[in-house]
Amino acid sequence: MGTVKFETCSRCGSVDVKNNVYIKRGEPMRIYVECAKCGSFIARYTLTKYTSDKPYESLLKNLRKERFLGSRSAAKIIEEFSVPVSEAFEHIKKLRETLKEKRKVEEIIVELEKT
Amino acid sequence: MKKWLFIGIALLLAVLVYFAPFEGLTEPARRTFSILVIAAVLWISEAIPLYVTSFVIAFLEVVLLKNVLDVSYKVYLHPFFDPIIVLFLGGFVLSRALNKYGIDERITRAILSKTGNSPKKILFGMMLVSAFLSMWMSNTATAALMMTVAITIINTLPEKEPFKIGLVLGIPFACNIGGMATPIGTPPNAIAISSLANLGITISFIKWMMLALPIVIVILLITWWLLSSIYKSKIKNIAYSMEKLPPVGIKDKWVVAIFIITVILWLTGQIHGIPTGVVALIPVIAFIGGGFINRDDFRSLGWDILILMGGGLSLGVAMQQSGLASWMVERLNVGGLASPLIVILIFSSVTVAMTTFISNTSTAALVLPIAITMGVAPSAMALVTAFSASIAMILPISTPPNAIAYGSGLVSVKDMAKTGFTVTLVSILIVTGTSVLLMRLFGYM
Repeated sequence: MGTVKFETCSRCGSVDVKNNVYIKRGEPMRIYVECAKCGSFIARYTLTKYTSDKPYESLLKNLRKERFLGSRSAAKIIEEFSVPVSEAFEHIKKLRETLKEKRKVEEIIVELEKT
Repeated sequence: MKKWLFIGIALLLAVLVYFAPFEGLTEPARRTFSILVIAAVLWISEAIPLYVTSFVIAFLEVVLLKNVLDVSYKVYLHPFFDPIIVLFLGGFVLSRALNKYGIDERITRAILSKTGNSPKKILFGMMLVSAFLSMWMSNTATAALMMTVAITIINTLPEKEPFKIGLVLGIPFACNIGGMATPIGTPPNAIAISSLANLGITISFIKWMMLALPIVIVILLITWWLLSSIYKSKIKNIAYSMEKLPPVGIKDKWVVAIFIITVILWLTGQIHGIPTGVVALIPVIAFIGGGFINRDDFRSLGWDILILMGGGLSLGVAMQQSGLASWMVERLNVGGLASPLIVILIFSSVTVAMTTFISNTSTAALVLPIAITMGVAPSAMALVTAFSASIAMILPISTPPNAIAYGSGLVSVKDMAKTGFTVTLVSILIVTGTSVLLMRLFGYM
């Protein structure tokens, strides 16, 4: 089971954030997370896959770069996408409420890499 | 659990085959037969990733054949960087550049703008573009692009419009069919060319296209006719519009220029004498060296597919070197028992049955080394097996394009199976009949 937590500003502790989505042709999409309260930089994500509220269209965009060895691996990815993102989103929210994750994101990443 | 069961079955069958009382089977051939059985079970069951099976093949060949055959172990590793693998690598880079710079999208729009707006014409245009792009690009990438266009068209249609199903099915079918047309269209083609090269039979890029293109055109037209007849629309014209594309940039023009130069050089190999594998390095050097494609793109090129192909080729080499192939020619010489056409038809059907359930590359890697040892014109057998490996139209799991179309939720398994089965039957007959005819015409039979 994974873990979930709110992105938190290390300067003011706020969990209100703004996502600056940076898109440049030929480069992976990058998200610069900004604190909505104090405007500080919080984190940067480099995206490999983007899913909007229209998952099938997102899937098609992702698949345009793909090559599959066999149809089973393709079918698995498509199956994952067929679960509505909204459902997964609700699950993640519940998980956050239950886990009350206290560690920093980088700490979680390091721990996961170790295991 | 299932994984270990299949690994166990593979090992058990390998041992049984090794100790089976096959007459005239030498020690190296016996060991290679066991490796073939292990590869077959692992590729069919996907107990371990398909490309890992290729590594298993190489490992077993080196370890088991080292002491019984006077051949350097490098012989089994060379196929992993065979010229055909380099040709495919070039194809992958070309495909990535066409996709990254939106050239595929521009080609799509250019063709669709010429085909008209009636449902029949739209379906024809969509299938034509899908087949054309699949000749040069990955079938998956093509299907994903064309489904995006199809969704735009479908969104303008009434809810219970049968044409929707025809359009959604037409894309994967055309992608699967189009892949047959060029050596770089789909891995089975490359495995066929390389297997024949091991027998001293050369099929150039242009010769492959001369043999494959007529077959592709006929199957494509029949499939289009079938789909437009089954999923008839009452709508006369469909008005749809697509988002405007950014203006053509200098990099886009370079990508097109390099694409055209590469294809021309591939097609004119017999004039300038540069091997196709070497020509394939042009897009690799130009696009990566020129910064068109970055390190991330290069890393995600589909190396697992190349490794899988390498494993298939390596298995073929071991079969030749160990004498298993010639033993099969003697034992399974069905050429003398039945007419070549019947043997080819049977092989085509078996390949289609396999590719419906397992990867087309694995199917080709398994069936091709056996097909060319059947005592029937090996070139015809190789060609038909490669084409048949692309006739995977019945189930969503048959090919990634089918899975993509099914994932739209617009077609059911029943829709795909019903139409796909008819297309499959027609394709088997066309592939078998036309291949034999063309092979005779070109002097391969």
